[in-house]
Amino acid sequence: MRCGVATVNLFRVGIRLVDERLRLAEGPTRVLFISSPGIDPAPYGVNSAVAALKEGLEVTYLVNNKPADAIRAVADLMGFDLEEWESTGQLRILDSFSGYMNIPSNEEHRLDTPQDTNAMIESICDLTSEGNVVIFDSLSSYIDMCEGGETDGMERLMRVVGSLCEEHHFVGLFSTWGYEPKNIQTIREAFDTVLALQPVERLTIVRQFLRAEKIDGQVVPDFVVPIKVMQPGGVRVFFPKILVTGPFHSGKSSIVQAISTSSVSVDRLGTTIAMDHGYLDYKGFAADIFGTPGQENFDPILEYLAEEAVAVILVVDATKPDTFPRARTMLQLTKGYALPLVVAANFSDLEESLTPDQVRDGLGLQSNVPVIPTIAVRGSGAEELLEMIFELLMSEEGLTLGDGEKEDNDEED
Amino acid sequence: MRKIDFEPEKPPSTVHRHRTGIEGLDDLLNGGLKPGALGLLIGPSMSGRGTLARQYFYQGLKEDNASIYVTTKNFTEDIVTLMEEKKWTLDAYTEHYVFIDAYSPQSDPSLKDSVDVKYVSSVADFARLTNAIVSSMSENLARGVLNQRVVFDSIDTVLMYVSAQGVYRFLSYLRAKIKGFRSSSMFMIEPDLHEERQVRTLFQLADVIVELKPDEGIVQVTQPGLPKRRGAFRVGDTGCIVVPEPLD
Ligand SMILES: Nc1nc2c(ncn2[C@@H]2O[C@H](COP(=O)(O)OP(=O)(O)OP(=O)(O)O)[C@@H](O)[C@H]2O)c(=O)[nH]1
Ligand SMILES: [Mg+2]
Repeated sequence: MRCGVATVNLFRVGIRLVDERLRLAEGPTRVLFISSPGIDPAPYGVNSAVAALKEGLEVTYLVNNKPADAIRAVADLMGFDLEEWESTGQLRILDSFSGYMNIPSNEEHRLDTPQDTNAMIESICDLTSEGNVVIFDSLSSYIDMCEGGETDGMERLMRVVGSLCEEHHFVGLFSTWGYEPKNIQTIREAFDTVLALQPVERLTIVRQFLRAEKIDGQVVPDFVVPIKVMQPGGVRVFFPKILVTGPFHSGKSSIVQAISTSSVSVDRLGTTIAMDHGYLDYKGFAADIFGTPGQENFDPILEYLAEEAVAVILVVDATKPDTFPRARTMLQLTKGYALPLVVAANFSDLEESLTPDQVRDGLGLQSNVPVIPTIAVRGSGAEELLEMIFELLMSEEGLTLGDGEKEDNDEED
Repeated sequence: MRKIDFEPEKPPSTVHRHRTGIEGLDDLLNGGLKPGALGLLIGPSMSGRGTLARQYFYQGLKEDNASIYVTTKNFTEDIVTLMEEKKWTLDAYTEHYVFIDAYSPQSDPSLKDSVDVKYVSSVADFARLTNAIVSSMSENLARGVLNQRVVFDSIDTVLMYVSAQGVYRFLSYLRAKIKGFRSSSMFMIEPDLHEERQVRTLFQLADVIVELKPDEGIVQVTQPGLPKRRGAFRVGDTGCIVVPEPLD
């Protein structure tokens, strides 16, 4: 039985692209973050909590494997101050740890007998009114801490999850510590939305990907986005390297500055002699931006600077078609033709500047390559550049940006 | 192609091993711990197992390895003090070692990470704990330090928080990581504190077992496929002293 479905507020997890799909959900949302052991899922729980709090929902955050303060510390690193929400009672952190460990606790909300399944369900329901949010951190520790072992732990856990999912939005955090595959499957099936957090481990660089296995009960094939917990900032869909390149003095450093939230440039006598670097945080997306030098004497390292770029912004001076052959060479050197590519037709404030179509033709690019007129020094065109680059990156991943900003909510069921 | 090794065991000089710094024990170990080995260090408290673990940790620093010390039941400062008593001072080795302290935050949750110490708020938080260990190994490797070692002090505490099955899963994961990074390791455990059945499953994960038997004053080394070795064991002023018994 699901009661109060009509009154349930919409719930989001605070992750771009996932939220855009969750918006159509009706009724309680059941979200599982299922992570490889190397990834700490707690920031994803905190991120969901904060997203819900910002939407005006009440949140109960149950923590069973560490002191409640540890959650506050995680939030703090992410740049969130939970205190205000806690003081108004909109957020309650439910300490299910100290009772288990039999250690004292000053927490306002404490579960004295966490092993008692019914008591746990009851006290969560007492704290959390219908239609609000329960975050359970962590499901795997719950199993691990069950004296009866995995089978007993699973049975108890499913009882808790089942009861709470009826009337609440429910977010579960689960690390896959080599449990029985059938148990992992059972947990997956108890949730409508399953978001897997997976590392890509080269020997030293660890990146994270979020793979949506299903969203609102719908299997979503090929939904994989790179993701990162920003400290501060929270969870972002993250692109490790967007390259900004183009001929000498076309305005690359200015573009990097215009699109970045923060940036540094290594210039000498007005020209870039190392890389420009920017960090960009835009509507739930984040990226590191790297700008190359434009002078030809840097060509030997250009290829190396472009390594592992996921997208390229080519900046040209739209008043100087004689530099376009040079721009094409740079695209070749940086493998820009093979990547999502957007052209910034810069200096568009000057009268003699060419139109976007003329620039595209002049560069010999295909008609589907977007060309955006920009005035880098004034930041104009920066937002269009960003929209375009993220749209391309998403379609590259086989994804489309959600319809959140556009107006087409045609549901099919 | 993997070659099949017909030789019983290569002499110590040809295989680089992580020495414990305890001469007699290194002999029993055919030169030291193999890179990638999960070692179990078994013994009751007061048996000298702490000294042995700290000596192994410190030997790593002397040999330009990176050393990681996970503490679950002592303050980092106390371990450092115990090392200083043996003149094993850390000053010269900053950035070569890190403590992962899952104990101190219980009394002071506001502790912030430093170059020397990473804090984990609870041993039961396996995700954070493994993350701290693995990221430390990863940082060492990124700095170009290929030889590293891990002391885990101790599994006993973890077994207090989490079921034996849970600990087994946790150790299996860490074991794979330790192999991946080719670190050596010593995980401390006191079997008498736990049910025998629980401990036995954990033993299956070990590549080498170093067991202290204070009643008999000996240390015993067990490695799969090799004969058990024993030696006389005691703790002296400058560290552990082991006198191997001849192979019989
Ligand atoms: N009027 C106008 N000036 C611009 C525009 N973009 C950049 N500039 C100016 O052009 C000059 C070069 O800009 P940069 O951003 O340094 O160009 P760059 O491509 O990084 O230059 P290099 O690193 O030397 O290759 C600076 O003086 C900028 O202020 C623009 O859109 N309009
Ligand atoms: Mg520049």
